[in-house]
Amino acid sequence: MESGGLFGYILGPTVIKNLTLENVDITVNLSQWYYGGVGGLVGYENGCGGGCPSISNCHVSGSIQTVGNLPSASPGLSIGGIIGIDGNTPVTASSFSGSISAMTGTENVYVGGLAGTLMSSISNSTANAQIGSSGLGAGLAAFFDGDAFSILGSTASGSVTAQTPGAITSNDAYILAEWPTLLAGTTSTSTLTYLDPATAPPPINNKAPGLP
Amino acid sequence: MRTSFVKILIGFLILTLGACSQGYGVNKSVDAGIADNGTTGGLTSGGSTTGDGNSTGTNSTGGNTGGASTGGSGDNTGGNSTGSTTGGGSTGGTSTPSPVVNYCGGSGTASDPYLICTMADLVTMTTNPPDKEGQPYQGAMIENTYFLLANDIVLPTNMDTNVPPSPWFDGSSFDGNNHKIVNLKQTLGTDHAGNGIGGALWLYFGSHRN
Repeated sequence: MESGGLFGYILGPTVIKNLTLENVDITVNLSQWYYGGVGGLVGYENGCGGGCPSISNCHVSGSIQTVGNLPSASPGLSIGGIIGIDGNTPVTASSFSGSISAMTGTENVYVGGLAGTLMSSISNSTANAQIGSSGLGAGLAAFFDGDAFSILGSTASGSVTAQTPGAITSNDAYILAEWPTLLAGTTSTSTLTYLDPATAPPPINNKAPGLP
Repeated sequence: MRTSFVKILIGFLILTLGACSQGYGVNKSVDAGIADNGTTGGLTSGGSTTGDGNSTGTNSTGGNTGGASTGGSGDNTGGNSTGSTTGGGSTGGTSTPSPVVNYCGGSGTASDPYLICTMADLVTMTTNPPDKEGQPYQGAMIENTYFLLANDIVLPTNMDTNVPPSPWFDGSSFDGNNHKIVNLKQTLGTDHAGNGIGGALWLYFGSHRN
């Protein structure tokens, strides 16, 4: 398990707030990287204990990129502009601006403008990002767990090029059909590009707000 | 799309299992991973000072800050790390694992947080605290400690903050105080030599490998 970011792991009632990271430049060498989380600010949030962590009013700009290929047996690599893997950490009033590119040669990479994997909440936050992913890619959060998350009052802009791209999450249509309140007040103007046009769903599936 | 979502869930379960296996109990495997990186990693490209620090291994702070002063590309670092190099380095050869706390102010409490003023303070924050087992050069466990960024910190643009270990922030707080850290550069998942960044100054923050 590996993680990157100014803060590698956070857990417990950790608070990170009022911090700007400008011109971040993170490169992940996949030849020695098996799975884990990389974020512009926090790599991996590792659970609650005596309270859950939180991130608020944090702003990251810059670029995150991978080199090399992720082993096909990897359980997955999550990359986000703010946090790679967010299990329990509410992210509020925060932003990422820049580019994230993870053309890893596999589909088990999850790239989001704010979070790679999200099981918690994002609110009142923005991402203006150029996202590239050989797996899931999304304007705000790529990988999610059922309805155990929410993205509220936030905005995404920029572009997402991925095997499975999404404007807000990697599967906005599914979420909006099953749990429409989970994306309340969140919009995206991100342009989506499918790496393999044959996998692009029919337009009727694209119900995410902000989709062209 | 539904199929891919199922795949997502399966992948996620695997991830969750991995996550559940994390935690304090995983420190031994952390050791292994970091030892791997630690032997190749040094705060300085020259590596001799840091390498010695690694091999003796009880006090990473001495080695790290020594490296910072060797690199010498930051005024702030040079100034602050000199002191800690002397202190940390001299104790580094002993078996004393206790960290040298050398911030520009504060005591680490909620009402009196440690003040982060310079790059050297950042290095201290991310390298000084030993983990729960007192091991250096792995994810430092920062527990119940409060930090406040006292001013903007601009890192040299040619510096790669390549980082085997990184702090685990457990119940701690970092208040940026609406300041910024500029030019944070990291190369993760490779050893320092592999990066070919000779002469660069290395900091240790932000990555964890196990």
